Amino acid sequence: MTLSIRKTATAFAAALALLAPLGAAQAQGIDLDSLEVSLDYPDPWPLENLIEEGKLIIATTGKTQKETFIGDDGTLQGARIDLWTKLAEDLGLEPEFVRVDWSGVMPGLAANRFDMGCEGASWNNDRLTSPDFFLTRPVKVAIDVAVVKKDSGIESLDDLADAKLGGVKGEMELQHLLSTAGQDETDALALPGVTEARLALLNGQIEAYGTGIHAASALLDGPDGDQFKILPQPTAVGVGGFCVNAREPDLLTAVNFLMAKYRTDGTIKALNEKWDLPDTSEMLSVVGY
Amino acid sequence: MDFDLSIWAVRGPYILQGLWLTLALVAGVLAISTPLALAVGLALEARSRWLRAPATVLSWMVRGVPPLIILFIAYYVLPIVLDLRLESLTAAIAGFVVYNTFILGEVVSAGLRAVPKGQHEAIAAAGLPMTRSLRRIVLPQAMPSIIPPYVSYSMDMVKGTALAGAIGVTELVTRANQAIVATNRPFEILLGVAIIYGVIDAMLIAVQMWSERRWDHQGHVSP
Repeated sequence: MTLSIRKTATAFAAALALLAPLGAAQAQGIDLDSLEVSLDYPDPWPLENLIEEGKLIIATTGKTQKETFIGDDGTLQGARIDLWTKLAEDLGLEPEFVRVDWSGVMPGLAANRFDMGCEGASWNNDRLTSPDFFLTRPVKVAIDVAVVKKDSGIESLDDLADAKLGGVKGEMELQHLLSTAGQDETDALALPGVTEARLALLNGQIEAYGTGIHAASALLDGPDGDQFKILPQPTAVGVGGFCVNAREPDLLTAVNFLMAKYRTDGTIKALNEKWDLPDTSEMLSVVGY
Repeated sequence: MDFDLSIWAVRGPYILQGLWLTLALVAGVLAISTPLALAVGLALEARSRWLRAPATVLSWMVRGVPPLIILFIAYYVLPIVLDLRLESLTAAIAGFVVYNTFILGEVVSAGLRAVPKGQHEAIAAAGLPMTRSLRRIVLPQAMPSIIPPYVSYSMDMVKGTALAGAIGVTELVTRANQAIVATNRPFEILLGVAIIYGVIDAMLIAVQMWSERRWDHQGHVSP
């Protein structure tokens, strides 16, 4: 009996050894590029913790050109609005946009006023570990830059050491500009919004404006845009995501899943192209997304 | 830089919707806070210290807090502390009502103090009921002192409603800001908004002048 088992085992092992190359060959024979990865998801997605059943309440500033702004017809428009609307529809929800200043988005999430918000909040240690909200997987590579006037004589980041710097208060882009220039926060002009920063730059109240590449490109496309230029070196390169209410881990899962889907099926890229925004979605693979 | 007022043809309707919201906010706040201010004013002038002391302390506290902080409390803190989620406009009305009740309460209080002391003594000597004496004697004499600062604070309130934009109320200034972002036309839009506020203030001043004349014509003596 013992001999019989040994023989059987030996024969089984030999058969496996013969079949192994055949199996590998079959696996190698599959055209991986032609595969369609299944990204099925529950429809409707069961979300137990929404603030209001059937609604996805999203906080937005409505003050970022091309991303979230009021169009000529008085409605909210932009790449982010399109993306969030699609997100809500794919979750079987009605989107409801609440327009608040940037400084009110995160407090509003903490106060359970919004299900989600942030147009692409840069990841940093404080935000990643915040008990008040979750950061979603990255939706963009956040390229922070410095915008200066063409006739300012500022050609590189090295020229910023003694320059008057400014940006939108509370934004990481301003912090990155300051740290790059070796300046303190108290020396900077922190302004309420992009428009004010643009005017301050135009009027010479600041010499360099720290912002993201999206806002900077919109600035150059706007009136008097020919007076500005973006310095060639970025002040920081990171990633940015949306913010989700910390009471809604199921929504975080759903958003993360759909953002992966939208990146894979080209939705994000198409929206960026539609709104003439620099597309960084394909760069996200550099950081493993 | 060119100056192009035609931007109002495109963006005007959207911005003016914010004007109606501003006016509705002001009307709602004044409608609620005016009677409450009367109660506060009376409490501030009450003989009973049990009424006067808490009213004085509350008035001092509320008037010392910037209205923006009160709005933030109404919108962001109440959901956490009391699980009470007020809509943006409701939270704005609630916040402004709290603030203006005590501001206007002080106006009423000052108006009551302007009524000659002899009048109060006469009322007490005649033994008139409080509500009747207030309605017939005290308030008519206090009104000429109350109306100018009341209208002045109302004008401040019209302009102060811009703070409500911080908690999501898309009133006049918020909509103007949104239009500026979309068009990069700050000067044309801000000039138009300044003119709108100027017209509202002019209307309120007209109301103030009409009210003052009305009270004077009725033979009441301004202090």
